[in-house]
Amino acid sequence: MATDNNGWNPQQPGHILLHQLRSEIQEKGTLSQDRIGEIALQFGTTPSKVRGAIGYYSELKQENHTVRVCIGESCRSNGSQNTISLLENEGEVVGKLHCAGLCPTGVAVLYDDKASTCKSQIGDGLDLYLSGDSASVALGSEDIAEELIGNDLDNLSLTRTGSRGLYHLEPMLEVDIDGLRHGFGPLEPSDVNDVLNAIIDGNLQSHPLHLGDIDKHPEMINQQRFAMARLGICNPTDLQSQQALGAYLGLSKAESSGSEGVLSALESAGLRGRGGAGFPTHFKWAAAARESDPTKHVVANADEGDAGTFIDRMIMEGDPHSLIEGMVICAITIGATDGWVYLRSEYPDAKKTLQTAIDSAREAGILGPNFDITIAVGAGSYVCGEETALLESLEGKRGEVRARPPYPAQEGLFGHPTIVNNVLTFSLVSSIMREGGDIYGAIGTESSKGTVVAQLVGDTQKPTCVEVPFGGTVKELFDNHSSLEGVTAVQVGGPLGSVFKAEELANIELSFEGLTNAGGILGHGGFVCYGSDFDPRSEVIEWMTFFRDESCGKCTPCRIGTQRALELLQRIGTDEEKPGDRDLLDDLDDVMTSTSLCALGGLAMNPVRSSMTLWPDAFGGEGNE
Amino acid sequence: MSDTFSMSINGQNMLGRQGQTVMEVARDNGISIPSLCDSPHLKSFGSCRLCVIEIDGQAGTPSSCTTPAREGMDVSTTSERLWNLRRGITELYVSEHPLDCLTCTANGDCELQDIAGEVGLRDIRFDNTPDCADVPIDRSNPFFSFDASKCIVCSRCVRACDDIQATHALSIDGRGFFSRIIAGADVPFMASDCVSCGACVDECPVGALEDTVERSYGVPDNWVRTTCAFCGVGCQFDAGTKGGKLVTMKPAADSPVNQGHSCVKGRFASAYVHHSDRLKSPMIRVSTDEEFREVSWDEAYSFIAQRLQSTKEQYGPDSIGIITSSRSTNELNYLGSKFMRAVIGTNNVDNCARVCHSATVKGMMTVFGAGAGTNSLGDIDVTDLLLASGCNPIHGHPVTGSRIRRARKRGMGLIVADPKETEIAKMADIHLQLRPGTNVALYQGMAHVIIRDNLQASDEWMNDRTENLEPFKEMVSEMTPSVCEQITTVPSATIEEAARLYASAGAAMSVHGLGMTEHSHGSEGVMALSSLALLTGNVGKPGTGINPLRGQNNVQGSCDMGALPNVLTNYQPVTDAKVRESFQNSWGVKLAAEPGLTYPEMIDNSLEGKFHALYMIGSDIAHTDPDNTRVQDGLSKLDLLIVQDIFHCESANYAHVILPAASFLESDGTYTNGERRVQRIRKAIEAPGLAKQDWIIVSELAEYMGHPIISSNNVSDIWDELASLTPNFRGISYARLESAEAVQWPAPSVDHPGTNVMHKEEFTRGLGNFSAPEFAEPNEQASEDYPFILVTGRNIFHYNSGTQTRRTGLNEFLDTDLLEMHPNDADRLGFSDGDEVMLASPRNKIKMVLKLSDDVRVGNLFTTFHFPDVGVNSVLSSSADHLTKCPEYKVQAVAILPA
Repeated sequence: MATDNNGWNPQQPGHILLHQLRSEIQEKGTLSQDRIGEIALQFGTTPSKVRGAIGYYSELKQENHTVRVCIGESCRSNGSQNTISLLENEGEVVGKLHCAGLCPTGVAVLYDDKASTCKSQIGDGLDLYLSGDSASVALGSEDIAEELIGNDLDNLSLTRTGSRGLYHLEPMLEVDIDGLRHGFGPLEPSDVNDVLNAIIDGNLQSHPLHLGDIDKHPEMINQQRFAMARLGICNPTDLQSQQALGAYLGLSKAESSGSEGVLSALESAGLRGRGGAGFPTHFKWAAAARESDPTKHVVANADEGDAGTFIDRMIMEGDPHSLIEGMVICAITIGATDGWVYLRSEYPDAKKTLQTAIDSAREAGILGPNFDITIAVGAGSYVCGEETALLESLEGKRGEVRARPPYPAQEGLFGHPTIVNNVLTFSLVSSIMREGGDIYGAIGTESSKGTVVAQLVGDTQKPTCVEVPFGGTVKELFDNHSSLEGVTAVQVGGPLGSVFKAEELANIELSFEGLTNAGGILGHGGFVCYGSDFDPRSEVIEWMTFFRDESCGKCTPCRIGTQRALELLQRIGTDEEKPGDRDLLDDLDDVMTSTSLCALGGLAMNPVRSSMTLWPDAFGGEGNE
Repeated sequence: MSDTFSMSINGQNMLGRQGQTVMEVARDNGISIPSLCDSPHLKSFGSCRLCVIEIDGQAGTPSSCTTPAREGMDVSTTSERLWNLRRGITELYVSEHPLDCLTCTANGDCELQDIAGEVGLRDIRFDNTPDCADVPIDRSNPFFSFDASKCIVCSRCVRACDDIQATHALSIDGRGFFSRIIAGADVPFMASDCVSCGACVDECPVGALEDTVERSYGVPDNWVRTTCAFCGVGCQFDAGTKGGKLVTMKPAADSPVNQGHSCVKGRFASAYVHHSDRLKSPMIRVSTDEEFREVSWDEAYSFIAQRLQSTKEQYGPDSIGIITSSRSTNELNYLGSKFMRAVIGTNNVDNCARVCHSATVKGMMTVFGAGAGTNSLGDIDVTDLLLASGCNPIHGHPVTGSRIRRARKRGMGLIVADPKETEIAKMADIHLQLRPGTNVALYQGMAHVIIRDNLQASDEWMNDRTENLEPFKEMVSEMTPSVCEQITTVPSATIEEAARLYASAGAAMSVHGLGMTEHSHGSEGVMALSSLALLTGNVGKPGTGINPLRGQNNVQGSCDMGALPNVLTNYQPVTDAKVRESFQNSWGVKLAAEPGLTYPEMIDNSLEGKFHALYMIGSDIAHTDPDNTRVQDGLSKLDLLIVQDIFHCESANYAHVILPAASFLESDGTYTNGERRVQRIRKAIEAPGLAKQDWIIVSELAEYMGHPIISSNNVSDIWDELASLTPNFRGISYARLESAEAVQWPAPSVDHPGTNVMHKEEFTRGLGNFSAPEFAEPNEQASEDYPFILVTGRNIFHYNSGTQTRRTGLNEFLDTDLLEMHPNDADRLGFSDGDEVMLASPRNKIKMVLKLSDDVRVGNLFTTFHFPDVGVNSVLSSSADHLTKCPEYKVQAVAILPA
């Protein structure tokens, strides 16, 4: 896709540069200066810009690991460090990554970064459904698939679906009997024969793992699913099946209601961006719609970097057409010409599924010359989940945050008006258009309307992902869908979110405001539980190390502040602590929180502050002064 | 006015303009807000966070440099909380900065130091652990150094390189705390694609990027605004001096010409003025086989006066001539002309513009009635499309080159016509890589397409503003794209595409260089190009026109001053009795009515024994002219050669008298840049030894000869005299030139604002004159014996003859002329990169080093001509434009032999 800069702008080499650099570096190691010069020429840029990009992205370095282990918060709470030690003892060279979106599966261990191949089968016998979601695969769904396909029932039909989100019940096999979907789970491969026999015998209830009609399952009926409505039902990339379930119905309504109609539907739905900031979507879209530039962009932020969150991945793997539909609705509304999905490299399955869906949407004429979608894959940077850093990265540059204004809606990608929304937001747009803004807007609380997709993971007995109306307390959320049993602390809203004691959660409303009022953030809806082994001191060092490593380095409070904060945190509560260190940390907190350019620096002290306040003993009380 | 609004900062009411940030409004109103990453020359960036403010009714402390100002805003820039935050940020900065302020070379000139004082930083409570403490200082560049340990990563250098210079040589390695500025692919500055413009050094708020010379002298104690004396862009500088020494050249931000920018030469290479080779005393010798001896000015004047008188008596005044200088002031050029015409009594007056843009003057004069650039450099910022022909501004006019790159980034269309794939060709929409010497055919081919496709300007324009359209149409009707392709080798589809783009872009502007003029049909090429602009209505409007990029600082002015054999000031013909009368009245002598000799004719006549005395000021034709062995022969036959220069140049070897001149930094006067902008130069330092300003020498000599040519010792009186004789200059006075914009002529009256776009209502000649010369092959043709066509041009790190630039650190960038050859030709002949070869023509054979480059066409060669010991010009023929004698430097048949 053209970058629309008349062919010469060394400051905009385009995202393909990052892609090429990654493959060359992974294959051949560090690039020579001559090679950097050649690549610069190829992309119409200069050696410094290529070298600057290489220096910025963590994946543009050759890695020599044999296996990667996730050290994101959710996996950490489940004991990443033990896993690493075990693997190292087995002679593996362990690389670390920060979240692969496999949070509900325990500690994520990745042997390669290729997309998984899910086995399916077409038949006219038993009509079986099994999730091919990458977390489901990590939980063993592929073993179940092999068992199913390897058995004697030649004519069974096995459809791979997305996940319904009930990971604590996975691997879960569903069978369609008279239009009802009976579930069995969680399964071991050894259960498969018995389950099949029970089904064939018409004696479903007899099997101990029978879950009944899954749509009537208590875990399902106490949800109100919009974004997740089609997850787990049929083949995500089968356009016809998806359309039978309502895909692109919202688009045809948007087409008939026009730009104004969409904006007013979004306004009555009260939709706020689900990436974390919670900005009213209709405001942003209306601003872009007002711009007269003939070139406009729609960008889906699929750089789901907050450990403990994975709904974007689930949507892209399980209902990619809802994302495409939301983006096309946006394009119609603002008059956009180009669509982009900025996808993190840790999601190879999502890329594969989404690309297939984009191709079939193009074949069906939903995408085409007027508006098409390109997937751009990131190269390892947490800040690139911030919308302006994301745009820089899409332009092929170092992912440094831009000062706002100008806002992307006025001046975004390649200088053109651009809407950047989270994957979940786009998915909600298509369901809102389908179901009606008023219906969605009637749910939830006064200022947090509609539903929240809550991802309840970490050291909990019931890791799950549910979509429920805003309102009630966070404790109720856990009580209804997961479990706080054995949970000491919960971090809400990703690594930049505050940490709460489990017992506080009864006092916190489940809404944007509820979390803000409690001194935290809702973020992207991740709730990471820590068990009794929660160690606030080592956690704050982990967090600050992550922030220091991921700071883009543009603004001073974050660039130097995260390093200095880390140094202080390493001292505080130890014999190395100096008088005044805590006051200094407080002062630094104020400077970083009040003056940082983006949320990374601005929120970096959230988990530190809340941990030190709630668990003062872990930090040596008043120190050793 | 609707674009202003009122707001309040710190309780003070003030007006802001739409689009301004709070920082900008504050700055305009004298309120300083602490900042390290903000710079008036750069787009706001918002990284240092020191400029935080409080806004009434708004939560938080946003940065003022990124907050748009708006009606009714109530801003506070000072409160205890804001100062606490700023102190906290400064404490972070200093926690990773060396604490050696007292001995730091930036002491007293460091923004971080200033801020630390301003916020009252008294204690660093963090550990002081600079990030780059062990990174060695990069001293590779002769003009500046980079010390990463002092760097505060504000990115001002990176942004200056991206957004001002547009070379994009800098970036950052790593991220977060480990961010570090890098040049190129993390190489020393000298090994990167940095062109040493110094914009980064200018922007550096601390001591990380430092001007080597400035730092060794300390901060200048005197500043003088002046004009750069290298190319014709006319950049304004503040020359910073200390104790009589030039310390630094700081480009002027308030000048519309360079807007605070400079190239490597302007900023760093004026140090030649202090070179020990400077001429410090007049010298004479009776004959050229003697040694020179130093003499007093009186003795020198006496010697000259005697020989001029005897020559005049023996051979008549037309045996004497003067070559004035496009490098010297308007005042000198006027006086040089006056000296020859009034004191000696001949029109044998010429200047070095003869060998560069004489063809431009002729060609544009024919079509528009005026030979000067029609528009302004600022039009590059607004034009929709630039057609750049035969010029390489990235090298020849670097500040304009940057302007073109910036415009290109904003989306300006770009067509480049050049046999070589130059830097701007690489960034163009269309590169017309024509065969050298086929310009006329190329532009007529484009005109053919425009007429055929009915893309020309309106009938109204044709009727009201032009004449001779029909003969033009008839002529170009034969230049079909396929014929044009046969002649130029440019694919016909490309010609068609370029024609359509030029005709339909909106405002299309043409710039051209010597690749248009230095041809046997150079004037006609300019006529074809000018007619193309006329055909599409691209004249007389902003962002259009025909704009020669003048090579030397005062090419425009030297010609404007009448330092030409056929015209007096502003191209008033000497053949016009009325013109002569007005000058005769002022000068008090009778003037010769016949045009004099061009200087190549003076050399021809000397070789034939018909020309005997030459006064040469600030020119070095023994080096710079083609077939210069022949020129040298011509010079050595003279009875009197006076060379007035700042260095002992090549021509001085043939001189009887050498007069030591003051450099531009030691002189007063005016230069006129390529956009007709008359700008002051002002004396900043004393000339060495006995050296004197050019205009003083000429006027003293005239006085010595009994015919004073100045009315006072005030240089502005010379200007006033010439302006009184020149209708287009009458409104220009030194007083008006005090403003940073100065004045662009024509300015016929004191209340006339000057002219940024010429020919708005009508052309100087009345109607635009379509001119349709027939294409003719260049004089120089490749042959079996001389199968290559050599094109000569310039390199950014040197300036023409190199007399000045070779005496600076620029030699570290390039210390010889290299011969560029296409790798296919080299393969065929068995040569490799770096081989020494023999470049041969019927005139001479010289040794040169090969540089293989696929930028040149197969069968072409390219070289520069900055180094006299290489002797490129000795190989060239004296073939020239048949209308103006501008040499055919751009098409030379040569052979390559093994060394």
